[in-house]
This record gives sequence, C-alpha cells and structure tokens, in this order.
Amino acid sequence: MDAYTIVWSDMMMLRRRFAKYLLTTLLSPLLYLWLLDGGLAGA
Amino acid sequence: MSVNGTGYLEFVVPGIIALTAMTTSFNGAGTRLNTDRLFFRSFDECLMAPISSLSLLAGKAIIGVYRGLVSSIAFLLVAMLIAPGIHIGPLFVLSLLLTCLIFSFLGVLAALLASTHEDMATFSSLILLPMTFLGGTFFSLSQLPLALKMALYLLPLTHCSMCLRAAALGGSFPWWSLMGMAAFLLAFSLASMAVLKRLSV
Repeated sequence: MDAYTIVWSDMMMLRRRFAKYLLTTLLSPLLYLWLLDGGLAGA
Repeated sequence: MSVNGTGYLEFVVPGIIALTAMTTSFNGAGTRLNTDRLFFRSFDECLMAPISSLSLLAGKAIIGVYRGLVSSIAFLLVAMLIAPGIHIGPLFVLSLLLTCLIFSFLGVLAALLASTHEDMATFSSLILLPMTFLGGTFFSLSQLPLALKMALYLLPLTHCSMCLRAAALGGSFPWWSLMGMAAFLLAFSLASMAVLKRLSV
C-alpha cells in the first residue's frame, strides 16, 4: 500500500497538466500515423 | 500496400501503440525519477522514509505504467477511426500492460543508474532510439535474414510489437514472445531492485 503514497504526488502533478501531457505524448504517434497513412499506405 | 496479407495501416498501428507505450512509460517513470534524484534531491527523502524498497520501486514504476496506458489508449481511440479492423481483446490488454511495465522498469533502472541528466539523454539516444526503428514497429521481421532476425529478438520492443500485432490483427499469438516479455520484466525489475538496495545502503 505504500506504493500508493509514492504514486500520489505524481498523479496530482499529472492531473493538473493532463491536457498538456496528452497533447505532447500524442503528437509523435499521430504524426507517424498521418505520414505513414498518407505516404507508404497510399503507395 | 500490404504486409503479410494485411493493409499497411492496420499492420503499423499496433507497432505505433508499442512505440507510444515504450516512450511514455520510459519517460514517465525515468525522467521524473531522474529529476527527483539529481535535481530536487527529493528521492533521498523517499529512501529515508519508512517505506520498503519494493513499494518505492513499485510506486515509481506504476506512474510510468499509468502514463503509458493513458497515451496508448488515447492514440488507440484515434487510430481505430482510421483502421477499424483492429481487434481489442484480453491478450491485447495483457500485452499492452506488459509493454508499459517493461519500459517503466527500464526507465526506473536507467534513472537509478544515471549520475547526470545527460546520462538519461545518452541512454535514450543509444538504446531507445535504435529500438524505435529496429523493434519490428514499422516492418515485418519475416522478411529479414535469420541472423538479423535473431539480433532483433534481443530487443524487448520486438516482442511487444509482435504480441500487440498478433492480438490486434487476430493472427496466431506468439506465446514465446509473451514469455520473452515476462523475462525482460523480471530482469529489469530485479536489476532496479538491486541498484535501489545499493543506493539505500
């Protein structure tokens, strides 16, 4: 249960910046998808 | 363009999910721990607190897993609009969870071993970046020469991509790759525990 205490502070920080976090982590996979869809998949 | 009888887009989506899970779990656990340890010096207080090493390690890894799952699921929701042929079942969820766990523990291990912030960047450049392109994320390993294929099986991302792809596209599931993932998870968690014990002495 002590693990929950360790996780808590990080979860609080993540909750505060959730939208920014999601946007930054989704950017590169979506770019990969977009480029591969428009490039190689269309070949 | 098709790979192994599937459209390339449907083929590549599970690979990108493995890639997303890898980078976000590694950075979510590793970069945060590295900053806490070397910049804020707050990790020393965690070491002195009456918390077991196992709980400390698990806590630091869980945040990486959580971040990895959030990013992967968000990407999956978008990807399913473009490639609706992807099947989400229990094996896919298990593979995704294992992927996040493996790279979260690898991030914790790298952060515990690093003595400067540059060490983390070096680790990412030398280990994660080559794995991104060689781990079977964008291509099928079946088209490679045997020697190269064997070398790529040494990378954890290769097994993660194979398991996620087989689970998502409904092919025969590579159980031995799942065993490989479990072995990588065990190795990284035991190594992290050993380094943490050494730090807390």
